[in-house]
Amino acid sequence: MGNMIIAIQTLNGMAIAVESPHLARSEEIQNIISPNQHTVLAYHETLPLGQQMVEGILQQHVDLEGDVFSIAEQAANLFGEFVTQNSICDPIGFLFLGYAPDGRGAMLGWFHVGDQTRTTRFFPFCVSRTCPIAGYLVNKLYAPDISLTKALELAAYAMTQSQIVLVGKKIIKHEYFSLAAIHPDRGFFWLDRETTESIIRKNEERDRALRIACTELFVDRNW
Amino acid sequence: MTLAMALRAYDGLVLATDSRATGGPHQSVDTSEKFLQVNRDIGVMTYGLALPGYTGISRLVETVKSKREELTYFKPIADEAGSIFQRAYVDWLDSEKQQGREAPPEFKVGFILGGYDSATNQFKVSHWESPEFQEREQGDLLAAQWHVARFLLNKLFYPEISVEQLGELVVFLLVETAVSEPTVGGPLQLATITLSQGFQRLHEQDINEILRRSQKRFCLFRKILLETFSDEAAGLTAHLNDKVGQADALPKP
Repeated sequence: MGNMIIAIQTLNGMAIAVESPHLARSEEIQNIISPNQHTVLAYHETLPLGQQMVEGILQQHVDLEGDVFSIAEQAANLFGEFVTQNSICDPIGFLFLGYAPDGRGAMLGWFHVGDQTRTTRFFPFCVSRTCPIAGYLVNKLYAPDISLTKALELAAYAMTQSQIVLVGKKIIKHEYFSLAAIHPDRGFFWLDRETTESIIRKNEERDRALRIACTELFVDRNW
Repeated sequence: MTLAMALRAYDGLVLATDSRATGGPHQSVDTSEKFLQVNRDIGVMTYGLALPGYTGISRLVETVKSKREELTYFKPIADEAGSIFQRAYVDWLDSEKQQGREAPPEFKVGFILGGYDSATNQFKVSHWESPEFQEREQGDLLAAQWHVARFLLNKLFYPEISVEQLGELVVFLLVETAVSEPTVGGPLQLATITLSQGFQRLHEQDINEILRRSQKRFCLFRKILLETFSDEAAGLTAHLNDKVGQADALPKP
């Protein structure tokens, strides 16, 4: 069971949408942590195992330091040792999102499947494999000049549309996912409830407009 | 994987799949036959594991041909189909074991039977999936790589749609899925089932003609999506209403 994560890099920051823990069937799991002000670590695959690794390795034994590249490298080494020593075969993955002090943004993935481990760099967006609808929408709607605000709206729309199809009911509450951003200067921050709800409302209006606009797409206009 | 669909129009059914078979992350062929006609009014499709899938649908067709007197209507064919599909799957598992291979439990095979049931005067869709092979009657069905198609169907489908227009919608769903899912692709396989015409498989050139007609539709949909997310349109439903009124770019048959 994986959780949904969408991250979009923009000219003025990185937009992040993460599925809320209770949609991932566990109230006790935090699926995103921020080791420092400019870096985020998000669980990409099996949640309980991911939590165990983060608690067991990162939070209790090691203080990770440096920029996103440095933290990703340190963590990848530690995770690699952990899965080898414990003979872990379940798929697991982490995303490292953030900014280096020189202003470079990066989205780095660490994945372990079976007995193989690999690292991947994503650009300009990353959509976890559990949401093909989100991948479809972000691919269609991303533009290189997208602003952070618009990227947050897009990430929220992609997340909501995926959840509507996967969960089978309309998702209208902000509790079902969280929005966050990493700004090159301000660092990592969560969007508050009011802002998230206003984005959801705006997206509902957009979705209604989309439905109306598509009404005649499959009608023969010869009548 | 596959995208397999059985969708209900006002006046019939549309059955469709792609033709891609994947055997690993970098191995795929677009030659898989996932689709057969069972009798005048019924068709069968498969998705997932290609080998037991094709064995299952071809055995069903052979069985129906050899028992024409007993297997005429949808229900007796569906009753027979479940055990045929399960046997095809078990045979495949046995052959894998004999060759020293163990099939991972996540590797599944599914079957969809769709058609007109003269006994009840209704169009029906039934669905079986490994390992249980429990028959499930469905209204509409999207199977395997169904997510993007379901998202689009939720926006584009209307219950009054005709079989002809639904055929065009199905081609749209398959192409939009194929461009975003590497395990879906290749020539499209599509059939319509109506009361008057029965099962009619579309030839490759007919599907190519739909694809040709649909080019403006793909562009228009992309334009609508982009406009919906533009700053100009944000929060302005009326603006888009006007835009739709002006968008006279739909394909002419």
